[in-house]
Amino acid sequence: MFSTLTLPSPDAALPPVPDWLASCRADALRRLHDAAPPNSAAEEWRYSDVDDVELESVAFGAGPGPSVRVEGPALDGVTVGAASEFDGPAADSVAQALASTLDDGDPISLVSLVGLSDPLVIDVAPGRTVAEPIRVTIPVGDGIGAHTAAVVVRAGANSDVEVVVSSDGDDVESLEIVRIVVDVASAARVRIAEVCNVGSRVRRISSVVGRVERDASLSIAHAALGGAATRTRFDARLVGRGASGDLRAVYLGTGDQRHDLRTFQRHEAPDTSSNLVFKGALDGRSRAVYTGLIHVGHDARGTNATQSNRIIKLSDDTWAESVPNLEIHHNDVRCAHASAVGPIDEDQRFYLESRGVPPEVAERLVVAGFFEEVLGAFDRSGEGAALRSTVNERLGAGA
Amino acid sequence: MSELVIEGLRASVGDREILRGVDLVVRSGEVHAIMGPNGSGKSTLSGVIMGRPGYTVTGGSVRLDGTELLGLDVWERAQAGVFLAMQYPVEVPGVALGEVLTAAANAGGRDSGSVAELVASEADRVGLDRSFLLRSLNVDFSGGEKKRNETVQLGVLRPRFAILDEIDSGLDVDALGQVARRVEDATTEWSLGVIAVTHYNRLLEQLHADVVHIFAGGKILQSGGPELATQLEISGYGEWAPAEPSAAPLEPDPFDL
Repeated sequence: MFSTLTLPSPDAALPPVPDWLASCRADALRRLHDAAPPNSAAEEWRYSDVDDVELESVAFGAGPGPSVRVEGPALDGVTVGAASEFDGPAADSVAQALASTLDDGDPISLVSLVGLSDPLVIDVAPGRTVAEPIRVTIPVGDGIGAHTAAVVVRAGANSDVEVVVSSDGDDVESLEIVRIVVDVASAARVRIAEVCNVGSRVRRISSVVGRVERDASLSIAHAALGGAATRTRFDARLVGRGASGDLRAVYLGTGDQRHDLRTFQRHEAPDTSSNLVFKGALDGRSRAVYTGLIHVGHDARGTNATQSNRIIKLSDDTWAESVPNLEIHHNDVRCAHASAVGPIDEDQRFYLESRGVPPEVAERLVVAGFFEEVLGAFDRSGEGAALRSTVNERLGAGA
Repeated sequence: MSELVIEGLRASVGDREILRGVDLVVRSGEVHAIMGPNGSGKSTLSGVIMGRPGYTVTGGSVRLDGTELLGLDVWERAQAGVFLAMQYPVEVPGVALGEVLTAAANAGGRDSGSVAELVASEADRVGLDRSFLLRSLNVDFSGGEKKRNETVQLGVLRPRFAILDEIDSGLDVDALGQVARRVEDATTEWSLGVIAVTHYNRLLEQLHADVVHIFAGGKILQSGGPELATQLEISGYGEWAPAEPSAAPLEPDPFDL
């Protein structure tokens, strides 16, 4: 992939940002030069079909200010702003959130930081419960090269917040690199609902990385509907005792779409729990691959982790692979994973048809119902209804 | 007055012939009981009429007022006026009953505006708590709730003919009474014709059959009045079915026959 990637030299002059952010980026750039570029010959990328992606002109630090928009009025106890506006201890903590979630094995995380002019930071004060969801829109770029965007959510101890992130915009040839970093302090509760309904020519590489401290919880719901190709990575790092993570995703492929989903449930502290439910439906000639790892560290006794990925193939021309993995370093744990790829359930189809429902409608109902377990997670923020109708439209339009 | 005419119906699963020439005529408002031992092919008959995948029809016909059903898709048979209340209703996660019946009404060009109201009143008639109507179809329903739910659908869809495949199984005595009464009312309300497939006389004490057929070895061996069911209760199926258990297929059967 990125075999044609032209990086700025390590000492290139990037647009001015505060020193702490510049130093974050310079560090990422150095590491990027040392990292192996993504390539479909490597296991990490072998299903990604990314060799033809060209990343010659990442908009490296183009312009000041975040490219990301936040809607709604100012909220008491919530600070929203460009990372460059932060200084002192707050800046240190944003820098740490950005840097601590970089992964040399995931060059995209490095690219996204190098290319980033300014992340958007949402900072929720300790103890604050934010009643309404905070809505963030990540616009699709103008079709020239690649664009990076980042959102950092920092939830103070015992706070409660939901952030809805939508990627939307014109259907142009572009590559979007999006990174969402979530820092959940002890006993805080954070929900991230991410809706990706970009046009059919947009490629999107994104990651959602969460770090969850003691007795805190992080829920991530993701809907991958649009795009020519998406690669989405989810990391839930449960670093404090009693932390929990809930990961849900629906992905719908039509035409020649490709979805590549990679998940990491990392249990690094005792009594942590994680639950993952991913559901995909593929029509036309679309393709999907899911790779998931449950990692239980040496100190993570009492871990309870489940992982389930199910894919319905609506057409014989689709291709899907589901690869669950476990890596367990402690005996006192409960882990379960389930994975299934297959056509629509014949009994369910027959049952609905026997009531007088035509096959194509029966199929749409069964798939919508199959997604419901995940789509329900979008109801709280009010995104559910629109998502259901998008799913229905896409299924109705067929391949 | 409608007529469902089954003539010389033969069907197989794989290379095993299950139906070996079934002849049956059911008219509007009539209740026909098909009684037979386990493994006699009763459920296959139900499935073949409705078009369930997995069976190969090798001969005969099933006509509804002259329209051959065997060439139609499953949903077209339903729209033509046939309903199958299944022995094991299928769980459909995330899909509510109202959505299915609305889709069926729309496909049939009927007014779907009254579906919700109809569903609620039918649920009340068979004692199915309305909260079940909002839940995923049959998911975590008890056996009795599933059969009540099938009966609700029968009441809303108002087919010309209903095949009740062991609707009495899983029903307690109260539920059996409610379900049987609803079906019997339908035979007068809109002259529903009924094929009630059952193993036991218990159903027929509540749902009064006009004709009872003894079904064994893939065909109807004897037909008579309700007294035939009473006689069966006493004598069992020994007279019609092979008594030797070795007559059962050696391999596990993928279908419940």
